[in-house]
Amino acid sequence: MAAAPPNLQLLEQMRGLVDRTLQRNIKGLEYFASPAPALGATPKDVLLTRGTLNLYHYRPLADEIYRVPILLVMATTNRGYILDMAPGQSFVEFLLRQGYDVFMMDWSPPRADEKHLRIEDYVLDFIPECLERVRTVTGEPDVTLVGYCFGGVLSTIYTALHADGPVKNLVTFTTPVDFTQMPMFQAWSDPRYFDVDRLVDTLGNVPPDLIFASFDMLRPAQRIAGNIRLWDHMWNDEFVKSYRMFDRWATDALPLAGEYFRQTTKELMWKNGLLHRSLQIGGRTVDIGAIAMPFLHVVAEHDHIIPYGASKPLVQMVGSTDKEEVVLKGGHISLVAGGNAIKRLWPRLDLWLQERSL
Amino acid sequence: MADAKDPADFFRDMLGQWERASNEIVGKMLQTSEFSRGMNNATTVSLKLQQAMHEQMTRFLAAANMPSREEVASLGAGMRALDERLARIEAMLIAATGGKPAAPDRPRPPRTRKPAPKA
Repeated sequence: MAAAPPNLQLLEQMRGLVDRTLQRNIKGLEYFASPAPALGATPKDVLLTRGTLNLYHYRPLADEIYRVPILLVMATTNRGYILDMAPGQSFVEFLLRQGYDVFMMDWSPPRADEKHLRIEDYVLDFIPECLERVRTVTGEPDVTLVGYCFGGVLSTIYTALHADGPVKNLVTFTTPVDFTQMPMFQAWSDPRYFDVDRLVDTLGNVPPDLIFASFDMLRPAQRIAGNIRLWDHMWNDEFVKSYRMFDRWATDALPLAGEYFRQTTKELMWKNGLLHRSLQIGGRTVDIGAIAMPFLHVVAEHDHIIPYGASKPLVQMVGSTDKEEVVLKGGHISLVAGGNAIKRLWPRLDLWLQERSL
Repeated sequence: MADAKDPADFFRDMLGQWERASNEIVGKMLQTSEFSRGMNNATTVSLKLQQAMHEQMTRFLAAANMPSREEVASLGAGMRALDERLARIEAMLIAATGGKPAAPDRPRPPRTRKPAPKA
């Protein structure tokens, strides 16, 4: 068939432009008038609420499930619904449909009286209590622990201190161990200028605005460019839906318990205690080499929050014989949620877990 | 995906290039010790102001015989902690007496699943 004459092509293009401009205006009004999307809606039971800690048990979606349950440990800086976005785009829902029994440790803003929480509280109290609950509910002695970002750090510290514990498999996503390889955070927490004691002593818990601003400053132009792209794609319902989901999550940062922040800054950012095996938790040295269970670490090629250099040493340090590092395309967030994750991480993880969940 | 014939593609490319260049240039600036010193000095000043304001306000509220925000928040936190402790005691009592938990018992799928045989 012959191509349309140039004049007709131009007319078509102009028609498309006018149509999209009209749609942008109509849908732009809808955007501001409509409520925020419902997220984290996969049916679940709340097994435990203890201050900042919440333990969820998701209701099964398969007729037959694997023996070993999964306990997800969310990062302490953000809400757990990044792992349970809208139906069809939820990591939790995917795991349930693949036949796993899924639990999640999620965090609420720490209360004023929880400003004294330290890494010890998370690693020697919260994680063991949740593991015990999971074992009681399921009747299974083994659990797979899956930690995302700083949830991965907490899971790693826990398993290093409890190598003979109930954790059968350890999976971490984008988990840092070499904190010198995070140049932006290093610069901002430079001990010559950053008075963490004054900050924590004055504020108690570290406010979410500060956490959000520090993540936002990692890519200073991203928000402006994102807003222009949103306007450009306002006619596209799928784009707008996805943008709203991720934007809502990203701006929904959590405050951090003051002592936990102070300890993280001093022991990890300044002394790099995980890499140097100098971190002391509950009077014991955290040696990642003690981890002996099957281990999978998934990192993102273009992670701007935890650059690859910061998480690279983890798999080498772990003492397991069955260990693997997988580098996938994507960024810190698109690794676990959205179209990229559906295509890459989720099936890859399922494949790794199947044989180890019997 | 953008239509290849869309005349706005040129601006989209420009936006992408501007974003990458800005992230790199501003990012480098944000990594300098000058920026770190400036930012942390500003934070310290703001914290000092906040502390002075807080102390003044606490004195004023104490003089007016009114509770401070901290005291109200601490009362609320205490109530929530009490609630959670009660829930834990209730759960322990249920477990100790062999009673059924309040949540409805749902059918539990058998934990016998095996990976599908490889093709």
